[in-house]
Amino acid sequence: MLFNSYIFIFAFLPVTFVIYFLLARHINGEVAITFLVLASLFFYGWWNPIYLVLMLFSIGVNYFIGENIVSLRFSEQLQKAKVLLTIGLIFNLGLLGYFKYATFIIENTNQIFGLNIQTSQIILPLAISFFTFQQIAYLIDTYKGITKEFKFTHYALFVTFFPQLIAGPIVHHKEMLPQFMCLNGMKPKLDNVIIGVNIFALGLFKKVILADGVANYSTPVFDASLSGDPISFFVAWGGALAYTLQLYFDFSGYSDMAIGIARIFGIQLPINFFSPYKSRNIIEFWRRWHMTLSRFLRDYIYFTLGGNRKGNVRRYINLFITMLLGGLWHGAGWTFLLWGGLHGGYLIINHAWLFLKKQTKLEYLDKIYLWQFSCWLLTFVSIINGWVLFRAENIDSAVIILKGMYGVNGIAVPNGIIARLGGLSEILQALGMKTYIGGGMDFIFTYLWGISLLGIVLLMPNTQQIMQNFSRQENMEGNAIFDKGLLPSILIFRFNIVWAIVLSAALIIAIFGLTRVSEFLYFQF
Amino acid sequence: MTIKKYTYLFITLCFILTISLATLNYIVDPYILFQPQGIFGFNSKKPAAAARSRLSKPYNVIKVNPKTIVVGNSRPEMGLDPKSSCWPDQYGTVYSLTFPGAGFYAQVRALLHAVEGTNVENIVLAVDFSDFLYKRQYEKSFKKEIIWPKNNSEFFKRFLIDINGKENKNYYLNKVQDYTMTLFSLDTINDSIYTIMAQGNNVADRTELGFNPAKDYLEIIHFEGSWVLFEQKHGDLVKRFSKKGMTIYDSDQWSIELEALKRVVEMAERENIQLTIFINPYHYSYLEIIHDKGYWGEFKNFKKSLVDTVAKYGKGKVGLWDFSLYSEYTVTPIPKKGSELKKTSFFWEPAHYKKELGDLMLEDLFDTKCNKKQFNLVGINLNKAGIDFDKQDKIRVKLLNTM
Repeated sequence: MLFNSYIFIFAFLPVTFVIYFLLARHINGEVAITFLVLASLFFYGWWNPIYLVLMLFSIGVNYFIGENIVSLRFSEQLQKAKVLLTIGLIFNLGLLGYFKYATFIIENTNQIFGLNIQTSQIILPLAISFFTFQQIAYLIDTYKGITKEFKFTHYALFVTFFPQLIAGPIVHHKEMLPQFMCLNGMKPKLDNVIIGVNIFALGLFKKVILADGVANYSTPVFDASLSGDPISFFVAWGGALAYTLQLYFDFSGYSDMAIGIARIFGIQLPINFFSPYKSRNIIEFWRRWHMTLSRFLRDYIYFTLGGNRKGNVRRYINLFITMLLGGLWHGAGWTFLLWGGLHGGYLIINHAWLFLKKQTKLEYLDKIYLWQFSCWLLTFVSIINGWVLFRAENIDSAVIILKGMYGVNGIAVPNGIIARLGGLSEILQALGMKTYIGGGMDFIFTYLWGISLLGIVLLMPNTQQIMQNFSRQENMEGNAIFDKGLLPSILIFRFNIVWAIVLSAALIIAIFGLTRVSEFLYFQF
Repeated sequence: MTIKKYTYLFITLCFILTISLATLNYIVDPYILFQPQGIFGFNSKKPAAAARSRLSKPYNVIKVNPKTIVVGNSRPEMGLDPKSSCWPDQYGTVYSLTFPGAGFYAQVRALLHAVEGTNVENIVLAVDFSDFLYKRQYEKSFKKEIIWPKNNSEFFKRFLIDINGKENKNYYLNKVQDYTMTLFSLDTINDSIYTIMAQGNNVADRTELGFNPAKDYLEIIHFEGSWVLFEQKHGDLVKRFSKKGMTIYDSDQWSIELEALKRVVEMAERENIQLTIFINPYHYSYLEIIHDKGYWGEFKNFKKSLVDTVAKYGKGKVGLWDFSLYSEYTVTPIPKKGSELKKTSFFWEPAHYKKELGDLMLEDLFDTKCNKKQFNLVGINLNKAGIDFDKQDKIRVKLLNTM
C-alpha cells in the first residue's frame, strides 16, 4: 500500500489509528501492539502477500537468534554469543545476497568465464534491504549489550511498524520500543495527531506535486538515452537536474510522510534528510542525505573496518569500501557500484583537501562568499554527475547523458524557442548553437521546474527546521541534530492561521494530485 | 491559538478548499465533460481537451445523441468538421468520435459503443493504412483467443458494451468514477487554469462536437513556418515505416483490424445504418515514404482487403472511397526552411489534411455542393470504379515529374 493512495489515506490509516488506540484503552497495550503488527503486515502484504512469508521467516529467525544472544550474554558465554551473531549475520546477508545479488553475480560470472549457468527469475521482495539492515543492527546491538528484546510481538513491531517499513528511516530497536512502552505512549494526543498530519501534508506535497511534477522532465531524457541517440547539452543537463530534484523530493517526501504517520501514533522517527543540496562539500552532503543509512554504514561497516584508527591511508580505503558497499546496497548493478565508488572517491578527495587546507593555512577561504558559492557549486555538480550513474539503466546510457552534459554532442535548443528570439537567434546560431524540431514546451518547463525547485531546495527551510518547536532536536546519542539556523519566525511552524492555510492547501492540493499515483523511487532498493 | 482551535480551523480550511477547487473544475470544465458550451473569453476554447478525448468523447457522444458519427483517428478529427455545410441536410447532427493515436480496434469499439447508446443512422469511418500495418506474431491457438481481443484498459471501461457486445455492467460506476476523479483532480485544476489563461486565437481546441480546428498548428506556422510540421512528421513516418516485417494480415490473411472491420460492416447491415468507409488522404510525401520503405505492396493489399471485406459482408449498401491518391490535391510542394510557403494547400503536414480538403471529400462522398469554386473529384468510389493500380502508378509518375 502506498502512502500516496486514497486507500491508505482515507481507509487504512484512520482505521488503524482508531482501532489501535481503542484496543490500548479498553483492553491493553499488548493487544494493541499485536494489532499494530498485524496491520503493518497487512500493509506490507497489500503489494504481494507472498512477500510476507519471507519477511515473517526473517523476523522469526532473527528474533530467535537475538533472544539466544541475550541469554548467552547473560550467562557470560560471549564466545558462543559471537558464533550465534556470526550465524545471524550470515543468515541475513545470505538472504539479501540470494534475493538481491544472485542474478547479478551469476550473469557476470557467465560473462567473464563464458559459462552458461541458468538462473531462475528471482523477484526482489519489497523493502528487503531495509528490514535486513535493521535486523543486522539489532543483532549487533544485542551482542554489544546495547539493546534486548524478549517479546516476539515487540520485536515484530520494531521491524514491521508500517510508517518506516518499506523505505526507512532505518531505525534502531532502542530508539523505537521505549517510545511505545513509555507512560502514556498508547494514549492518543491531539498535538501528536495534528503535528503528524501536518508533517505528512508537507511530505505528501513534496512527493505528489514536486517530485512527480519534475519527474515528467527527467524520465524522458533517461529513456531517450537507452535508444543510443546522442543527447545535446541543455537536454542532458535538464534531465540530470530534474532527476536530482525528483530523487530528493521523492525520498525526503516519503521520509516526511513516514515521520508524520509515526507521529500520529505518538512515535518520533529519526530524521533522514536535512537540506542535503545546501552542502558545501561531500562530507557534509553525506551527513545530510539519507542520514539513517549513513549512520548504519558508519556504525556497522566503516567503524568495523577500523574507521580512522589505523592512519590516513587505511581511513581512505575504509571510506572507499564503505561507499562501494553503500552503492551496492542500493541495487545489484555496475551503475550503483560505480556511483558508490565515485562518492568514495569524492570523500577521499574531500578529506585530503581538508587536510591540505589545514596544512597550508587556507582555512580563511571559507569566510569568502565567492569561495563558499564555488564550493557549493562544485559539490552540487559532483552530486548531479553521481545521480546520472545512479539513475541510468546501464553504463552506456549514463555515458550518453554525461557526454551530452559535457558538450560532446553540441549545444542545441528547440527551433520553436530560437524562432521567438528575434535577432538574438541569429547571434546564437552564428555562435554555433544548433536547433532541433519539437520539444519547445518541454525544454521551457524542464528549466522552469528545475530552477523553481532548486530555489526551494536552497532557500527554504526543511521540514525539521519548520517543525523545530514540535519535534525532537537531538539524535539518539543526545546530540543536537543540526544547527537550527536563523530562520525568520514566519517560517517556523506555529498554531496560527497562516500555517493552517498553508498546510491545509498543501494537503488538499496533494490529495487532488493522487489521481496519478506513482511509486516511490526508493521502493526499488 | 490553541491546538484545538487550530485543528478545527485546519479541518474547515481543508473542506472549503476541496469544495472550491472542485467548483473551479466544474465551472471551467477543461475537458468538455460537464457542460457543452463555455463562456466566450473565459472557457469557450478548450486547449486541454485535446489530450483527454478518450475521457470525454465516449460520454459526450451519448449526450449529444447525433444522427451521424465520424469515426477514426486524428486525421478525420482535424479534417472533417461536423459543422461543415458540406454534410447532407438529412445527416443531422454530426459528432466526431475520433481519437488521436487510437488503433483501429479501439476506434471500432468506440463506434459500437455509440451505436448502442445513440440513435445514430449514419457512420462515416475513416481508415488509415498505418492503423492496419503491424508486425504479426500470432500463435494459432493464441489467435483463436484474441479474435476479439480482451482489452480492459481505462478507455474500454467507458463503453456501454463489453467485448462480447453485451452490456457493460460497470459502465455507470466507471462513469461516476471518471466524473469524480475529474472534479477532484490536480491535473484538472492545472488544466482549468490553463484553459482560462489560454483563450487567445491560436491555441489547441476541441469543439463540443469533437472537432479539432488545429489552431495550435497555426501558432507553430506563424512563428516557425510549416516546414517544421512537415519535417517533424516526416521523421516520425520514416521511423514508423522503417520497421521491418510489418504486414496487414498474417499468413491466414487474418488480422484483428480486418476482423474489426468485418464486424462493423455486419453490424451496419444488421442495424440498418448507412456506413461510408474511406481511406484518408495523404500528402504525396507520405505516400513516397510508403514506397521507399517497401510497403507499397502492403498498401495495395490493404486496399484490396477493404474492397473484399465490404463486398463480402456489405451486401452493396456500404460506401467505400479511396482518397489516398496522387492527385492535384496531394502532390503539392513541401515547404522548406527559408523559402517558406506559409500555408501548404490542403495539408498541415504529410499525414493530416485540412478542413478545406475534408469539405471537398464530403462533396465527393455525399454528392453535395458547398464550395463555390468548381473542383475535380478528390477520391475514387471503389464500389463503382474498383481499384486500378496501374492507372494510379501512371498518375504518380506523371505528377511527380511535374514537381
